[in-house]
Amino acid sequence: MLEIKEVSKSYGGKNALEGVSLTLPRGEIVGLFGENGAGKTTLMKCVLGLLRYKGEIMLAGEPVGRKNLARLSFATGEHSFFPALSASEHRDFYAMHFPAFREKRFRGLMEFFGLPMNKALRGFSTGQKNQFEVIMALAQGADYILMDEPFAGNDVFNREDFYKVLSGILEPQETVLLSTHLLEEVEQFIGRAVLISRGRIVGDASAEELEAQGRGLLDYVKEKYRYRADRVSQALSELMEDGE
Amino acid sequence: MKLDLSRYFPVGIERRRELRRLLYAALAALLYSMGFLVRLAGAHGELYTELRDGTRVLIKGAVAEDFARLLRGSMIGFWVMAGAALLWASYFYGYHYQGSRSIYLMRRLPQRGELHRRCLAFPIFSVLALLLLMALTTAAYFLIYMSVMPAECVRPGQLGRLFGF
Repeated sequence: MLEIKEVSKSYGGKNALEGVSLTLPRGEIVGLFGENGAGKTTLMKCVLGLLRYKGEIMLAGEPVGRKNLARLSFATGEHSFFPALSASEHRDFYAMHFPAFREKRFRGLMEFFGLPMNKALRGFSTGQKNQFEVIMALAQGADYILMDEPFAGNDVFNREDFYKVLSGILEPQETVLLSTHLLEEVEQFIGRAVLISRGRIVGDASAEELEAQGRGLLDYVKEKYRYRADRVSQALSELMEDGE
Repeated sequence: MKLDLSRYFPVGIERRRELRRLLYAALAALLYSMGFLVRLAGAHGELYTELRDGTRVLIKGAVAEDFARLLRGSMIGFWVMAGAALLWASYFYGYHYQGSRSIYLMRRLPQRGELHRRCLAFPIFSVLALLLLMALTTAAYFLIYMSVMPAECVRPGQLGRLFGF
């Protein structure tokens, strides 16, 4: 279980996270949603120890550190691979540093996406780079896979394929925390939705709960963000009045 | 046992290119230091006078310029290059932000110190190699000085003066 307790982070006096608490049990696909600058990326980076923070982040009862860091993997839209290395060189590097590296899954996903093994990553298209980033996060052998906007730049068919693969290959002990703006696309694949706004958790509901309430994910998000459906029509009518 | 050099460079960096750069830096410093040989030739020439028939004879009582004085400034190239080699470390750290954020992967590795070993090992080796080359060059120049200068013109305690005592 990954436990985030009262985590706060500020950048030069501006609060990016304020007392965030969240528990991720094993075996869930959790969607992390929020507007730009809500704190999604900051939260993930705190979990991975890439940023200093106040509070506590525990993995199976122990603070996240060198000892258990390999149990977390990360796929980011910024990409964390080495552009000069090929896919096979990355495989070797991961296998050397992550003892639980999943060679078979790596090969399977590489074949599925048809990515070249011996071409330097810098020569990949943006979509291919995203795919590779996610492949490495899935193949690292981690129990908690953190994905931060991993599909930016991929076409819709590609993303669709990927969600299917994701839900198909994950093993019961693997948890995915997926941050994305593409609510409607991931709705069918996530088991839980966590909403973050201005550095605070503003909503947390499981797919079952939403289903029982007869609400879709988008409705839930709109409600939590107090989205005003009449906002656009009101603005348009005001513009029309100004024009008259 | 063969030393795996790749463990001491950032992942994906061209090791040969970096080694070549070190070689060029060392050659540049060495070339600059050769100013000493020019000054040595000049100081050596000042010990002699030319007779009317063209023969060169040692001036009676002539004293050779001290080795330390002739060497002054010659080794600055090594110090400059050694300083620049330290900047290599920031280049290596910065490399992990180019084209991607491979810094995230390096900082997530379970092996403590992997990132720092890869970013610091070569710059530190370079500094040490340049300083060693400087010491060897100084020793070689000292031998040249002692063999070229007439013994009777060389003041005793040359090494002492070099190290400032």
